[in-house]
Amino acid sequence: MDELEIIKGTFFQECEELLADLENGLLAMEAGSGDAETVNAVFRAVHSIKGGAGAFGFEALVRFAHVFETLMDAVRSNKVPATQSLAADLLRAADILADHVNAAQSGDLVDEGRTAAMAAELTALTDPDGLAAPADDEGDFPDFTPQPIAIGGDELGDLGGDEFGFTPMAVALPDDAPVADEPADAEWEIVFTPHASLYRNANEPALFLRELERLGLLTVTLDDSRLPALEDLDAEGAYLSWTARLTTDADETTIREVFDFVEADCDLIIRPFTDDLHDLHDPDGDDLAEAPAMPDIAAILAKAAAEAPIPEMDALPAAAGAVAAAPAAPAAAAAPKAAESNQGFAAQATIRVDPERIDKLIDLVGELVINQAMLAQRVVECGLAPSSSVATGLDDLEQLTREIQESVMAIRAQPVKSVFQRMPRLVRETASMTGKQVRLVTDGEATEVDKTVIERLSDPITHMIRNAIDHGLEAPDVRVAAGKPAEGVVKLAAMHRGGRIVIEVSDDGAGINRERVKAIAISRELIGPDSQLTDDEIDNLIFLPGFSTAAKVSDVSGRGVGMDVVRRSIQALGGRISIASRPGQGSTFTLSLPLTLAVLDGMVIDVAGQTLVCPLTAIVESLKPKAEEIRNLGPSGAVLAVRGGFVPLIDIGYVLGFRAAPLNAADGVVLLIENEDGGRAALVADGIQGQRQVVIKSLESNYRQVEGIAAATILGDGRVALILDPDAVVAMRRQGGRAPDPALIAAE
Amino acid sequence: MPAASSISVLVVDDQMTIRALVRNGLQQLGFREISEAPDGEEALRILVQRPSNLIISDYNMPKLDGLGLLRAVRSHPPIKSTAFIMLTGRADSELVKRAAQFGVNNYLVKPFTVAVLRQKIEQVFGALT
Repeated sequence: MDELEIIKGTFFQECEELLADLENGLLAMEAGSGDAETVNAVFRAVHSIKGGAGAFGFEALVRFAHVFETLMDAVRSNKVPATQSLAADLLRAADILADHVNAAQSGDLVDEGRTAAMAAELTALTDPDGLAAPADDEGDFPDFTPQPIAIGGDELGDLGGDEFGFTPMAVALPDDAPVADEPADAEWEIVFTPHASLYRNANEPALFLRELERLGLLTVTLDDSRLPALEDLDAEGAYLSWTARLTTDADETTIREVFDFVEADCDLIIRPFTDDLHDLHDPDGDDLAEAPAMPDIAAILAKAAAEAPIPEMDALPAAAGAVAAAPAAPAAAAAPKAAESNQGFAAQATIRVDPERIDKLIDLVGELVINQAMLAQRVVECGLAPSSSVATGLDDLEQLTREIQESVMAIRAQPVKSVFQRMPRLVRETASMTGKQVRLVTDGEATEVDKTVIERLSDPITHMIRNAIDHGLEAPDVRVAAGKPAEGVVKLAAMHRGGRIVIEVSDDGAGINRERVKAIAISRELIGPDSQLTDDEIDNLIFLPGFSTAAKVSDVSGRGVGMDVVRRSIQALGGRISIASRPGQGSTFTLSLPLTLAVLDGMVIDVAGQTLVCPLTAIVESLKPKAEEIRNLGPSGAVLAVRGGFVPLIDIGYVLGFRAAPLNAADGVVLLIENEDGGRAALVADGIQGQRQVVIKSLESNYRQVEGIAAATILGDGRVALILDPDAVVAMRRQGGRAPDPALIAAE
Repeated sequence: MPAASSISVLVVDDQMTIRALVRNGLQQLGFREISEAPDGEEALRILVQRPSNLIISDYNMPKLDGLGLLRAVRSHPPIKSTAFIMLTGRADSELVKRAAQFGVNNYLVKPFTVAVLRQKIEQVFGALT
């Protein structure tokens, strides 16, 4: 790929983060909790998007970002007050900015009318009276012409002022020695303890410290531990001592020269600085010992601020500002601050890695797990005692392999924040479309889950939230009449539970109208007119195909897919979704998914000479049926009696076309599974090999989609095995169908 | 006539995109020693450990902005003469004035072409080879 294309990819990736920062900042402002730094961060996000967009020539995006940025700049400089209503307007502008970013990425067109209207709105907000002259983007910099440093007569000729009236300052490179090879500055520790005679001779300790500072970078700590109580104080006594840390290229003699005339009037220790020495002499040594042995940044900043104080400097860190007040005076406070800010640096060390490399690593580790399992099985088959050194060694290996797997999976794990972040906009838009007042509360944003799952979470969450606002929450007047606040609350929460990720979307609306749901289900013949259903069962009827509770097809939920499709897609991922509802108090959707889609706990089964894997999550139990438990119904139908109930028997091999006639269940084993609508089915296989963790390989991306098959995997011995989609197998049987081309799948 | 490959550059910008673009431009011009920092503080930390010949820094960054970095560099003797080019937006004339007061060597308006990047560096170091 072209390098610029790669950078463009980086830009869009970065835009996503910037847009999230932007939205978070604006939401904080809207909630009234934004400070100056929040406003600045919002400005910076818009500014950065504009900057990057300019580099790639996304003109429309640049133009809109510019208007946005201009307003933020006015807010930043307090020309426009940062009110909560302004934040609400800016949130809408942020949505349009996001549209522009998406359009730039996809090449689609944006809604120009909407953009123009928003831009006009932003301009009006920036300059309500329309007094200011149009921004002069091409403005030059006429007032200042810095003096160039001459490095040679000829070259200076090229350095004339440019179109902005700015004259560049030339510098000379160091001749031979590369900068990086210059000897590093040495660090010294100077302990300076004046005697009373020093003060009597009218010497001022601060002057010596200031003199030291000329040699390099200086941090000074005052030791006043010998200072007596006031009543015991001798006004002419000497009680203070200073410990200075100096980073300099000067040698010891030069340092000693500073104290040339007072050496007899003080105790002076000058020695190379090391952490060990420091610990011995500095009561606050703990803090400093953690700081790296190099000039500390806070001190440099303090010095910079002291040398050239500019009141309007806006971005100088507060810590540095505080130290700047007394650069060479006893600076005990500076030391802990320096340590703090240095710790800040260490925390942000991250690396970016091509996701494909991690995917590859995860695949390999998955196969390592499988290989290890196979090996363990061989050991058992060979009849080695569990206490033998080979077996115990294998146990250790298993432990290690699992740990490696967990660590590798953790690399690819991401917080659900990236999905949650998109929801405030959805809530805003859905709320305005339905005329409802909604507040979104999120919880557990830091919950981590595998990247493969994250990507699949967005659609179901979107749908559940839309549903909660559209169907769950009442209109504001209805709420007020019911004694609730006009503003409804939708809560989106994520948590880990039992090795799965659980997402809950709850609302404080009216709850499910069970009478109506039941009536609709009966009218659509989804249930019989005299069905006896529990409340819970009624609530979950909304997941049935063909069910829609909306009295009229609304703009929001009526569009696109129904809850049945959501449930179907969740189940395809080995997940479950359910709803619980309390009349008048609201409903809660609960969605649970495996933490990863990279590996799967499966039951390895034999079917007509093929090895298949059935996801363990689908299996309720597996059993060996007795002949008397099987009732034949017609030529190819049969049911199995399980604890008083009857469950349809479905031969996997027959449905998938591996064999021409169904296997008699009594000759095989049965996997009892729970299917899509809570019903059960008994899948018949020839035999069970065992339970195993397998690495999921997409069949779709390697071959094509095959009905009844979810994916494929490679077993420890190198054979390919297909992973069953049990629900699809049941559905195929129901339609009375068999796979379109039996030979094809068998051949794979 | 300095060789581009002999000049070490530190690129400072909180935006990875801009850092990548500057790095890409520098590489096209023959620069080899290029390091990056996402903000002024990190830049300063890198510089005191390993000085560069040239700093190309954005202005608006979190933690420590471009002006703060410039001031800090100019006040720290071991690195005070490092060449400093400030990245700016078009409308930042105030910024350029202030940066000039603190001894910035040149500025570079975003977006820029490789040719302009070369011109701005050559105005500081002389023609590159």
